[in-house]
Amino acid sequence: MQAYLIRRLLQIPIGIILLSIIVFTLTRVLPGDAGEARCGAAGNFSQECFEVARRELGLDKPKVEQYWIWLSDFVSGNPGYSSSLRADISTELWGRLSNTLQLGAMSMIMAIIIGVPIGVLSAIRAGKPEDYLARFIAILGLSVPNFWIATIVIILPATWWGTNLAPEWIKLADNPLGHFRVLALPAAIAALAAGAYIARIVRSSMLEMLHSDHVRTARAKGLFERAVVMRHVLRNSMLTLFTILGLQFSGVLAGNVIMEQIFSIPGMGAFLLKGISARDFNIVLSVSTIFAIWFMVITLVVDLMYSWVDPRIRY
Amino acid sequence: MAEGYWGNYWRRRVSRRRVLAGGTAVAAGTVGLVAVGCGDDDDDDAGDEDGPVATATSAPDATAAATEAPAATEAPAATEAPAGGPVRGGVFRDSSSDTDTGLDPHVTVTAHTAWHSSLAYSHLLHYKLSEDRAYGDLATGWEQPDNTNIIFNLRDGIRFAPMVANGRDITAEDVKFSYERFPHALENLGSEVNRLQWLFIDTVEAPDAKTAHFTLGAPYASAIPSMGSSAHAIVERGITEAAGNDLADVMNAGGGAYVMVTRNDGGVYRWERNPNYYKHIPAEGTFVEDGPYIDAKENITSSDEAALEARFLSGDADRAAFALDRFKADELEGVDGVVVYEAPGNTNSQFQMDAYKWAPHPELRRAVSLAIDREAYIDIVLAGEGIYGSPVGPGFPMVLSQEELRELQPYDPAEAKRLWDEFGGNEVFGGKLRTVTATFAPQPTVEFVSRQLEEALGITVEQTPADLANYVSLATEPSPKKWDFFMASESSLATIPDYNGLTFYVPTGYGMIFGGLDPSSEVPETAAYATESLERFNTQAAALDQEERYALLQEYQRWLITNHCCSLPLPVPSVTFLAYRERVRNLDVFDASLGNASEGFRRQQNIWLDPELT
Amino acid sequence: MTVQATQLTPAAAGDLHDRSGRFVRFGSGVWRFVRTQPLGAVAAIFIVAVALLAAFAPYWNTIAPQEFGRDLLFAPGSDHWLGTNRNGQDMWSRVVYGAQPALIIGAGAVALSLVIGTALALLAGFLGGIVDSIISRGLEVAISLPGLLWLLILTTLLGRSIEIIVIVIGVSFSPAVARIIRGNVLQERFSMYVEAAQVIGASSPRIMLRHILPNLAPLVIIVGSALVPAAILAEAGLTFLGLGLEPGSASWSVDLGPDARRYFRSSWWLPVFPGVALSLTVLAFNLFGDSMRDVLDPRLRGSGLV
Repeated sequence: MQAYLIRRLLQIPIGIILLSIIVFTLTRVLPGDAGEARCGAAGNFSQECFEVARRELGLDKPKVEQYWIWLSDFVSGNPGYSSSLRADISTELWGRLSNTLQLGAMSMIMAIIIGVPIGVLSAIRAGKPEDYLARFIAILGLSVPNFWIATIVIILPATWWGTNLAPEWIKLADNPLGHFRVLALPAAIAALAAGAYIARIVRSSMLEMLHSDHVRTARAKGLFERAVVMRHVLRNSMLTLFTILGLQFSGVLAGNVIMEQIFSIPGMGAFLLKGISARDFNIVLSVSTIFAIWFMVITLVVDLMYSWVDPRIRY
Repeated sequence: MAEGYWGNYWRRRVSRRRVLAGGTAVAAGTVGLVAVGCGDDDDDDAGDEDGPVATATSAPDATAAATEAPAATEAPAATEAPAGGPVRGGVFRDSSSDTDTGLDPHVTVTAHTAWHSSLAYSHLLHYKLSEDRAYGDLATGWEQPDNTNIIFNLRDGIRFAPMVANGRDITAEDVKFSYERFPHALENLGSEVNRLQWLFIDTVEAPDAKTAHFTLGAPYASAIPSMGSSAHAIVERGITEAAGNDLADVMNAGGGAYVMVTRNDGGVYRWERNPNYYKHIPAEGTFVEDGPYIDAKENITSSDEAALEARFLSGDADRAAFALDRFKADELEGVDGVVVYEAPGNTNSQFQMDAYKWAPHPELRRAVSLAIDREAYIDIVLAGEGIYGSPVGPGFPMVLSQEELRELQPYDPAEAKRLWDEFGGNEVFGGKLRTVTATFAPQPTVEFVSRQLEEALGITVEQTPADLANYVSLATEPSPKKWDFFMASESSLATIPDYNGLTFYVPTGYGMIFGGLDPSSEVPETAAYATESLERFNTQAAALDQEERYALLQEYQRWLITNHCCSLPLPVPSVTFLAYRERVRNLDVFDASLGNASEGFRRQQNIWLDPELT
Repeated sequence: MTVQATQLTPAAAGDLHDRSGRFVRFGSGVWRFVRTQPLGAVAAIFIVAVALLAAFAPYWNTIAPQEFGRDLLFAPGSDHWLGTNRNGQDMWSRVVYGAQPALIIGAGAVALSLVIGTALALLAGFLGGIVDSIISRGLEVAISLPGLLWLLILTTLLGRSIEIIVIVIGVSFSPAVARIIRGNVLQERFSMYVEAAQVIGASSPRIMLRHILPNLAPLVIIVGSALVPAAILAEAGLTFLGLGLEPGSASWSVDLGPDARRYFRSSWWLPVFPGVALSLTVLAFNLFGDSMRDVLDPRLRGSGLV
């Protein structure tokens, strides 16, 4: 177990370096660069300006050196200079990471609130009309594009009642209540698909449990169905669910980019888009590396949880 | 043709829009002598309210609008007679998709910077296009002893903002420093666009604290309009030098009516009243004796158009900073608390070719021009409200008449096909034309024109989508370019008005930067054409007599249109729509409609907010 | 959303994992499918209908979907069944033609990801050792970067024609596919019949293609049908962000773009028809995918699933 853990922990930095090299290479072959983007934004289209800007941004250095500079900056905890922010990336990065995590956490909580009851209902009433309805709703949630829902949710209340559901961004430090109120709607919209997914997982894992041997035994013991469901089925299903949620949450970091875009939430996804369109390679590299670290760590935690939940799994 | 019910409904709505026939103001104006300079409206600030690239929502022709809308009952300048008179106070809340590309007033040119240079900096002059007249801001007056000298007298009591060098007095030395900074600001990744605005200035002297003496390199009658733009901001020397001559991240270094207090705090920008702001006595133009009526201005940025719309509809924003056309305007008509204004359009729209490739093939250029059905373009792309375009912006006295423009730009697909085949269009261009589509701005024009070329000439048009960074390098790379044509447009007239359209046709402007119209090109036809175009441009620019210059400009337009090189004017909208919340009073509609970096409502100080309304 | 779609994480993998079963012969399977999976059958009929719309688009009383017209923003009526858009284009024609890119992307991207993913899984699972280590580590790295990021970078890099979108989405889905299938390859690898085949001297490629691959078929079909709706939604999300299909092309996702949002308040038909078409198609693929899984997955069969 210990050896496994050490091996897994060692794999993370290797994977990160590999990945950052791939992303670095990809960004460098993109047409256009940060120098051109910067001059263009200033209305200056001369080759001289491009060159000055590239020199200032260190884009004229050998590629290997550029990569090394970024890597050492990143490892030191200050992931470099951003050409489009005209400041260090770290001035925005951590705030954005926190916003994205909050949005993700909120939408996960909402997804659980929506998804778990629907899934449970669906499983214990399997084959009945409620089950069909619940599953249909769940599949519907997975089928409607979230930007479409968001558009409807923004435009119609504004048209009918003059209500603005896309208010200005409020920082946590300034007004925590307002901050979470701004986050609530995008989180709810993002929660529809996630909730639908959770409902499906809960349903199938509960069904599996309901048909498993130990539940049959419990029933045979003469336990009430309710007790069977609560004590055996639900608890076991929840453990499975939470390991799955962990992985879902790793996708959350990048998953809400469309919501961030529509509701002007300064988050990581919007940052990434900005980085790509401004050819701000440091942003692209740093954001993707943080995504990757996040993903790898969560994967490790989930794998460990698996073995904790199911003692048969040994590493 | 049976329309649907809703179609009919919208079509039949009787407009209660306030129509403005302000076009005559420009038409009657005498706009400058030599037009060197160019619209501030660069091609990158995507979903900006200026509708930068051919979105065809804002724009067009003063003369046309003036004749089409003669029933205007209200005065051109003020929007409505205030019930109670101006009230001081309030916060103007804007919500736009402006991108923050830095705050240096001498360098950047996006709409966002214009906010800043208009609000937080003072200027020698304020040029009001609707009246074709410059009003003194820091200057009380100026004399022009001859064609190459301008002497400004500065106002008493002018000071920088409190946080700028402790609010010390602004002197002629500051004017000199600011104007001499332009070329150095350029070295700091400055703007070629702005460059055209100050290049005519040779030297600036400050004989005493209250006198600034400008010497021009050559006679230049557009000097005053040009210097009235917000790009000509007066900056404080110490702060500028301390910042390494780069004001991009300096919030306050001037003495404008407002000071910036918040920059991009989660997309929120805020300016508040500058306590040091000086008195304007007498209050001329839009100036108010005790400074602007409105206390503070806010811009809450969002890149999502639906979110911007929701903010405006709900009254959280005072201005509709999203694309407006006839259909949107009709929608907004019915909304409580919203006023929709109409003003003459002011866009130029071009089919820009790579001169390197096209100059040697006059017949193919003609084929392209003949293949474009401009009437259909007006009916569809411009929803019926458009006029024929010309290299000179619509609304100027020297623009060719609609009749002549229509005659000069016929539609004849059969002849186009014949020319294209006979002169080997397919061989020259490999059977396809390549164009660049900007991903950041929807361009129905590109689609429309591409389809027409495909149908008429039997070719395929290949679109390369480009985003912001990509677009710049694609558009400006040295010829031969990776594209054969692209659509370009300018929606501003405000800086150096009669140059904004021409810039796409002349070797000193975008014609060179984008179109590769290079007098020293290795392709002899390109070089020859560029040289002749430049000569014609310079000749009209040097003509000091207005009548003579107008005649030369008209001749120049005819020459450009009949040669089809290497830009073709496309039709432009005849009307611009604006929408504000009702509480915004005394808006200068025509100036606001120009929506350009330099002018518009941003510098209008006698605009006020009605506290009775939301 | 795109990411959820593109990231078939090990969780989902676990979901689909270990589900070996007898390959259902299609001939006899169809009737049983209809009988046991009524909803799935309805979804299948809907998908076939959409496919017919797409395949014979010119014959359903349509005009060229990219043809500009003078009827701007007309409401649905007898001339234009679903109204017109701001360019005067007939929305009925655009909705019919719009089925083409949706199906091409759904089917093409998934087919590509299945081919790449299965090939990698076979190589890794069957050959084992160093090959497996390299492929597995590579997959871990590829999967650790959210699918959205791959999509954004690759479309910026390569362009946005439909072929490119198919390739980009297909490639970005394939690591997840490979990870799911590799586990099954491992199981098969050590099964009796593979050992038997090895004993009689069958070559490795032959064992992989003739013995293991057919046994993977149910899982591949399950994974494939689960990914089709994900691919369609991934493209829609990309297009919304301005990095998908070119503006103007006849596609549901393009028609949900800026114009549909801009004129929503007065021209409800702009967002509604392409949106409903897209959602229903994705819904049908989801239902069908579920049914396929129930039919092909012996463990859940008979447990009350539709």
